[in-house]
Amino acid sequence: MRYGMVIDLKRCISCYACQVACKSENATPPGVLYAWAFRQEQGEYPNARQVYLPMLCNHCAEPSCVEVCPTGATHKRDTDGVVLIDPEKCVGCRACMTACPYHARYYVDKIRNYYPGQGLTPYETAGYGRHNAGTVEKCNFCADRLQKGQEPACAANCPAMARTFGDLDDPDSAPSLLIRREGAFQLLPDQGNDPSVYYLPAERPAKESR
Amino acid sequence: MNRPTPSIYSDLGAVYRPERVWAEGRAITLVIAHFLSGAGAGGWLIGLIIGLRLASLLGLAAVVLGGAIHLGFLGHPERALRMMAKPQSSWISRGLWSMLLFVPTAALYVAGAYGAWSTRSAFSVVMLVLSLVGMAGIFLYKGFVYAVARAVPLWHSPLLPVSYISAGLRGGAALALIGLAFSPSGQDRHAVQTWWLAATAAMVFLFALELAMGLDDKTVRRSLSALAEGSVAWAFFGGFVLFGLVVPVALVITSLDASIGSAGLLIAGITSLGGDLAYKYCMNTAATYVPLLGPRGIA
Ligand code: SF4
Ligand code: SF4
Repeated sequence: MRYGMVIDLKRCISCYACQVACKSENATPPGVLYAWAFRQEQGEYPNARQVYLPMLCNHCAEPSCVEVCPTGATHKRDTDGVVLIDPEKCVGCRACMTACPYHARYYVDKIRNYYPGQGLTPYETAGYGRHNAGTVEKCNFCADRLQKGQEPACAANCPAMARTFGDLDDPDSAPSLLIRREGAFQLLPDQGNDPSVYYLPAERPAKESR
Repeated sequence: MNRPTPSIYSDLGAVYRPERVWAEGRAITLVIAHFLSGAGAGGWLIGLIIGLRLASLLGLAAVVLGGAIHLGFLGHPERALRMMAKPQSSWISRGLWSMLLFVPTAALYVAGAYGAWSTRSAFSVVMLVLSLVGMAGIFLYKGFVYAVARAVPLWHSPLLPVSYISAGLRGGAALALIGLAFSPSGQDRHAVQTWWLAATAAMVFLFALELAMGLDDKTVRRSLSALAEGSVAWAFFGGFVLFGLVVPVALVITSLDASIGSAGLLIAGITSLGGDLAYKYCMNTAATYVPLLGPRGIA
């Protein structure tokens, strides 16, 4: 099994719901975004447009982060291809961050709270237990939710249904069908990582994509 | 300060995202550590070749100091030995193995050289061979730690490891210049000067070649403009070119036929090392990731 995701850039409305859902699910401290959006203006008036590219760890089939990790903290789970970090093994050398072409990783030097000088909120107190200062963190496809048979929070909370999650090894799964039929592409394919996150182009012939 | 640095957020929309984790803040300790271990390995080798014990000793001290400073960069220095776990795939692992092989064997060999036992004993010879294996690993690993980063074209060059070896040799020759300044006048100055000039020429040539080979790549050009006119231009021109090349080259060339005295050798050695540190800093700070959208774009 290889979990993966297809993000339809035509459906995406740049609302940041995925980013907020991820923050809420994972209680990530300020400055740590497992899901984030690359936003950029392209072209010039009157032909300017805004590019909005939702990002997360691509759970690459050939993850460059895994091979450079000296401790084995970063590893790929055999059962479903999810790339995980063992916080007890991570030494915080950050080699994995320089190796990731998709900027999926964050170094948490210390655990910050959202309201400086006011201590942790009850939510932060409950959620911060999973973060470890001095280690690197990233999206784990919501491993806890996967275990319960749920899809990742970003996919579950996308109001435009732009994210389709499933098993890429199953040719009949929803993401596999989208990849095959709609011409999905991977980011930076020449990097050789074979990402498990695919994108459907924002500009493509007007037909129902699912 | 409770808030994250603004660069985290401004980088999210950057087309050419700067590499920061091995360049900014506490990462200066990583830059210093890598510089010291490279120069230390070079000092060890050159000291052995020209028979200048002080250079070898300075080299060993530099590797130990570099290793200790490296710990300061880690989020969990107390877990450092865990970095030995993956020598089959990680150059950091191989580097740690090399250092842990080099330091005790070099120290035992030095103890023999300073009279604890004969350097011709089988034990000393074994220590020497093992220290050279460790030294070779130290020379190699750093360049590869950077060169494997495929998304950072300034580093991802087959020439980078060779270039870092030449930088290590230049640093070693600079340690030898310093060692020479404190050694009796009978020492072979010419050999040290020749080593330094040759290593400097090799380093500058390889650096120029590496940049020339990368000129077709937009991201490398971006890094080059950071070196030439961006935020690291002061370190590149002031630190590396002026302090690390012009001053010591002038001093060492002058010293080839006119003695510049111990003070001159000392200044040449120190400026050369300062320049190497600036070079290392520039190479880390000017690094930039390939743009996410790539040649195909996302339309
Ligand atoms: S996106 Fe980056 S962090 Fe995630 S698996 Fe790929 S290389 Fe590793
Ligand atoms: S920071 Fe942690 S996960 Fe990343 S390479 Fe180092 S030890 Fe591995």
